[in-house]
Amino acid sequence: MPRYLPRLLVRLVLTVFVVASAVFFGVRMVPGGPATALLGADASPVDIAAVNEKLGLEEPLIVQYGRFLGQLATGSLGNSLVSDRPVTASIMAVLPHTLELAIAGMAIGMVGGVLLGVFTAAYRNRAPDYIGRVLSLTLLSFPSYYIGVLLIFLVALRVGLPTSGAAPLSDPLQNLSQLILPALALGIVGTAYVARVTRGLMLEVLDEDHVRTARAKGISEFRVLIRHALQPASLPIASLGGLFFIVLIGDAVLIETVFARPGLGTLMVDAMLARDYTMVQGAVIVVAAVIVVVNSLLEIVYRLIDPRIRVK
Amino acid sequence: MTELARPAARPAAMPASDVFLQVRNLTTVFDTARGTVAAVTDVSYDVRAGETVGIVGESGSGKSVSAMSMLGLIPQPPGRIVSGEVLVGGREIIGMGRRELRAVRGVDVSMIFQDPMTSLNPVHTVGAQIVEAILGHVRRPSRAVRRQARQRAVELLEAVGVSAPHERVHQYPHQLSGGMRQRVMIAMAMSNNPRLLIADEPTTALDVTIQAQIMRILREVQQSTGISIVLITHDMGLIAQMAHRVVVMYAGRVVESGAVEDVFLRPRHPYTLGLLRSFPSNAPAGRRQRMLPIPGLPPDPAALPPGCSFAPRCSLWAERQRCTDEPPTLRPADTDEHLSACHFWSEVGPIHAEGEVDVSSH
Repeated sequence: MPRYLPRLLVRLVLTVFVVASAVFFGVRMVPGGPATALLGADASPVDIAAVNEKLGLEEPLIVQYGRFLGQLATGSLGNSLVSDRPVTASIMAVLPHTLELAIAGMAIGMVGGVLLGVFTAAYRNRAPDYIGRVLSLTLLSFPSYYIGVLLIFLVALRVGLPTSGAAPLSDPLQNLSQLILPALALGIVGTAYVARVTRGLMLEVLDEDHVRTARAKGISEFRVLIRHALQPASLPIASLGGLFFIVLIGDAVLIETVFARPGLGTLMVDAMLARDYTMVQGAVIVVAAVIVVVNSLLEIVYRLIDPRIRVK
Repeated sequence: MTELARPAARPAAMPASDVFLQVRNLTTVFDTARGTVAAVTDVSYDVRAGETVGIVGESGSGKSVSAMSMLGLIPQPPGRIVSGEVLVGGREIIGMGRRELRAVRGVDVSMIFQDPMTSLNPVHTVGAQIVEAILGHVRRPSRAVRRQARQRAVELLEAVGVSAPHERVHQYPHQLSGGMRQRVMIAMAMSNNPRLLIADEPTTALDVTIQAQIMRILREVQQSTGISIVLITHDMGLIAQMAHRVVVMYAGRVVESGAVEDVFLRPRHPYTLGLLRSFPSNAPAGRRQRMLPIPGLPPDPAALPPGCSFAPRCSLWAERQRCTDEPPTLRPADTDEHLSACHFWSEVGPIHAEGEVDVSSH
C-alpha cells in the first residue's frame, strides 16, 4: 500500500496544478466579472473599478496567477470574492452532501448494473435478455435530471418523501429519506449503462475456454457465472466505475438543482453566476482531487481482482 | 467426505470387457443464420472400461462436438441434440436435468481440452481450481473436507509430475508453462476419480517433447486407475501409440471404426486410407514412403454432397452412380468389430503399394 502513496501524491499535485491553472484562466475569460454581479448591471464603471481594486482584480493577470499558486501551495483556496468567507469552509460544508450522493448513485449504478448485466448475459438471446436489454436502452435514453423529475412526481409526492434539501449524516433517517431519490435518479441511468457493458464483457468471457472447463467440472452454473465469468470481467467493469464516477460528479450538479439539494453542484452554479472566481476555482480543484483519489483507489482494487497485474 | 475417501483405483463395478460409454445414433445440429446445420449425424460408438478409443478426423469433422454433446457442453442455443442416446455407466445422459448432469460432469466423466493456455481460469490459483472441482460436488463442505481437498490437490499435482506441488498450488496459470498447465488440467480432471476421461486434442497446442510427456502421464493415469479414455485428435500417430480402438469421422459421420491394428493395417474406408497415407511414416529411411495428401477440402456441413459425403475427394469413386445416389451406412467389413461406411470397402487398397506399414506397438 505505501508503495502507491508517492505515485498518488505526484499525480494529485500534477492534476491539481493543471486543473487549477485551466480553471483560473478559464473563469476569467467569461464575460462579466464579480463586480458587475455584486453591484448589478447598471453599476457605474467607477464603482466597478473600485470593487475590482478591492478584490485585487486590477493587478496584471500573471501577478494574480502567481498569488493564486502561492496560496494553493500552502493549501489555501482563498476567500470568496462575494462573501469574503474562506472558500474551503464553504466547500467543506457542502462536500459531504455531494460525495454521499455520488457514492450512493455509484453504488446503485454498479450493483444494479452488474446484477442486470449478469442476469441478461446468463439468459443470452432468451426472453429475459431481450426484456433487460430493451429496459436498459430505454433508461439510457432518459437524462438523469428527467428521471429526477419523474421520481418527484411518481414517487416522492405519493409516498411522501421529501423532494428537496439534505440532512447531515448525524441524522441518518432524515439523511436517507432526502438522499434516496436523488441517488436513484443518478443511479438508474448508471445501472442501464453498467448493465450493457457488463453483459457484453460477460458474453465475451463466457465464450472463453476456461468457462467450458469450469462447466466440465460440474460446478453449479451460478458459480460458473460469478467466479469464472464475472470475476475475470470485473477489471474492465471496475475501470468503467472510475469513469462513471467522474460523470456522476457532473450529473450530481444537475440532480442537486432538480432536488434543490445543497452540494458542490449548486455551489458551483451559484458561484459561476456571481463570477465568484475563487469559489469556482476551489470547487473545481476539490472535484479534481476527489476524482484523482477515487481513480487511484480503483487501481488498488484492480490489483486485488487480477493477479496478472499483481505479479508485475 | 466420500468423494475424497474413494480409493485412487476404485474396484471396477463391471467386468473389464463391459461397455462404460455407449453413444447411439447421436445427431447434433446447430441453428445458424443459414439454416440448421448438422455437426454430428447418427454417430455411434462404444467405449469399454479401461480402454482408450481414439476419435480421429479433420477439423470440422464433428469429433469435438460429439464429445461435447455427451456432457451437454455444446452451447444451447444455437446447438441442439436432435436424436440419439448417450449411456454413461448404463444411465441415459441426453435429456438429463441440470442437476443430474452436473453430478456426472467431473465425477463420472471428465474432460481435458486442446489449449491449456486458455483452459484454466486466469484469475484463480491452480490449487483453487482443483479444489473447486472437488468441492463443487460436496454440499456444504466442512472445514475438514476443505482441508482434505487442498491436500488432495497437492497429491494430484504430484501424481501428474508437477514439481514442488506445495508451491505450485498457490500459483496462477500464467506462472506455469504450457506442459505444466496441461498437467494441472489432468490433475483437475482426475480429482474425483472419474471412469472416463475425454481428452480433446490434449497435445495439439504443445510442442513435441511435451506431447510425449503428457501422453505418458495419460497412460500412467490409465494404468493406475483403470479409467477409459476417449482421445480426440487428428494425429494418426497418437492414435497408433495410445488407442486400442479407433473411430474415424468425416463430415459429422463415423466412416470407419475398429481395433487400431485392423484399421491401420487394413483400412476399409478410402478416407482412412487417405489419412494414413498423408501421415509421415516412421519407417527406417530406406523403406520410407511418400506422404500423399487427400485432394480437396472437407465439405461445407451446410451443403453436403449427395450420397457419400466423401465421394468428391475419393480415390475409389470413379464416377460410380451408387456413391452419389445412396448414402452408405456403417456395416461390418472383414469382421463384426471392424465397421466401414463405404459401398466398395473391399476395394480399399493397402496403405502402401509395396513395402511395410509401421504401426508402433502400445
